[in-house]
Amino acid sequence: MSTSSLDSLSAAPRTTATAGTAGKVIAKRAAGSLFVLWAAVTLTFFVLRLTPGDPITAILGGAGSSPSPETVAAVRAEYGLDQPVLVQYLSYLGNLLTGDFGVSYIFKVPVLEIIGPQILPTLQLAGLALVFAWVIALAFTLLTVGRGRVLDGAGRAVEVFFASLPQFWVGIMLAVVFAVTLGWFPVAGNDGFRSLVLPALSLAVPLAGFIAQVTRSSFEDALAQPFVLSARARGLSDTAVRITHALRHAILPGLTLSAWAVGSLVSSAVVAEVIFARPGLGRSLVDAIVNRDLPITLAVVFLIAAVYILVNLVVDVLYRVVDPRTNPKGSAA
Amino acid sequence: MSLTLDPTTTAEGGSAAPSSPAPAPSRAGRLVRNTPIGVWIAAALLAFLVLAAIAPSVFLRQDPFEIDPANAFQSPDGLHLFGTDQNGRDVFSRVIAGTGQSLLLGLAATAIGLILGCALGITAGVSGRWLDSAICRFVEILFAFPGLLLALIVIAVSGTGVVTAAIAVGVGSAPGYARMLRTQTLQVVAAPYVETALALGRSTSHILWHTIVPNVARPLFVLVTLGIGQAIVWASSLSFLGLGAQPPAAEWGAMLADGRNYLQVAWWIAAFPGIFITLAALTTTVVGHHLQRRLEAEV
Repeated sequence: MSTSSLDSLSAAPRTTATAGTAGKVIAKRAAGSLFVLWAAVTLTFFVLRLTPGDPITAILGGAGSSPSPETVAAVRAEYGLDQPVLVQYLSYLGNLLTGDFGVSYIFKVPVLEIIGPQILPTLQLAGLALVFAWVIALAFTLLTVGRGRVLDGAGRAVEVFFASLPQFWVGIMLAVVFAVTLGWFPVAGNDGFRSLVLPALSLAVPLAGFIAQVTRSSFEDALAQPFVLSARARGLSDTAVRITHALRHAILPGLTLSAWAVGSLVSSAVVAEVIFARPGLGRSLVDAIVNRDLPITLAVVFLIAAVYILVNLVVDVLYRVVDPRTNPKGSAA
Repeated sequence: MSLTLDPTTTAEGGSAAPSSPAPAPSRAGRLVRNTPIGVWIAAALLAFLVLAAIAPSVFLRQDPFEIDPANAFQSPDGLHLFGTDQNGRDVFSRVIAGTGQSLLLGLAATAIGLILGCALGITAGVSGRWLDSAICRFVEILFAFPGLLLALIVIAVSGTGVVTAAIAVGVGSAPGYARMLRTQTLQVVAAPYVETALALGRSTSHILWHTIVPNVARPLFVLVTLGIGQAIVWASSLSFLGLGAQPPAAEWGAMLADGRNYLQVAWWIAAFPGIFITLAALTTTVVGHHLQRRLEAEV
């Protein structure tokens, strides 16, 4: 499933670039990304307007309170909710350009003050999870591919198993074993690298299953290439051939997968954040959804989408640099 | 890639040869021999889960909702196979009772995702450049909401609950289905038999319903099997976050969330629902992959 969506990831943008320098192509891709980001914000803005109920009730402390009509009118004006939706939308976009995400309905302070401190912990978590996932996946690939039927089959089975594991269950089991029973890592909190290991691992294990499935098949292909045979003929050891020759080719498809992975890690980080009581964007998002705090919801969705789109763009550009074959003509179907 | 050189099919039996020299093996016989043991195990476990979902009373030994504070936090033993939870409820019974809701949630979410995906993907695949590229753009925008994000946006609008969780997961998986179905449709549209149908003067709607849809639908079955596992994991994630099924319910994700609070004293409350989520995801994936390989081998 993951692979087929990946193939299409690269085929999706219907760039009609036939000739033109790499810079031109990159600029075009960047413009496309910017368009997607704008469309994503617009879509979210209007979809969230569909939320039943008046945002005023969320601002003025839930359905139980009974504010006077004057207060309601004053607050409505304060948050700009008395304006037509289109005006609200345009002013939201304008503020967004200056880095202003509005004011939280619940906390009554600028959104950035709430979610600003949450960004770094989530990025750290996602980053370390990606590193762990790659280490596990590469270990699997190097140790089991082309090492006979039994090891090969075992590697395959473990990958499918890993990929099916729900992150939150992995997290809980890791917490039981390594935090509660063995006491090697803290059960909860955000206190340096040690507190980051278990949450990152809980996200990394299922992801490692996905990455390993992709690197396995490309590693198999690479091992069957003539250049591997010639390297062996030159007397290189098996390990040397695997690491210096085959691995380079096997990693390339994984690069695109990583772009997808960063996005899904940032958005699924919430699970690890909840289990290990860590601060983070995901937790702010879930809290905001429960409390109907639309400005925070919108801001977190925007940030996650922005990170995802940016990483995809960077990987796309990197890909063109690393593998010039992807450059010319034909991404249009 | 899926060149499965199965020795059982090539080496015609080390067993005592059957009476007739080379009978065309029956369909059932071929099925048995072409299916690896792992797939059989997965299919058997899946059958167990389905049975538990349809007729939980077959396995139930205690009332999953009966509160018995005197017997709280019992570790797994002969009487309580999976132990008891903070209220003395039997975890095994609760896990079994939750199978129906958890599987149904995954199934409903997959169905919703598939319907939306078909509407977008097949339409894009059969229509002209304009509509096609418009739909592609739209799907591309939806892809900007990675992982659970799209589902979370749906929850933000429609509120928490089991039904909205199913819809949310369905919407979240729709872009992926749409993209795959579009590719599939494009392949079918370009196939010679469509050209033949056109040459025979069949009407567009006749070709759409009698030629394109059946040929797109076959691989769909495989997609569904593969998709259900993911949907179950996503839906239970939402319940785990408190956005789907709510605590008293015996839903796996909600039970896990419940058990999280007692990790220090009773690991089994959280462990067993998680094992069942994994089991559901794993068995559907293994069976789905096998069906996919068979389908590819046939084509």
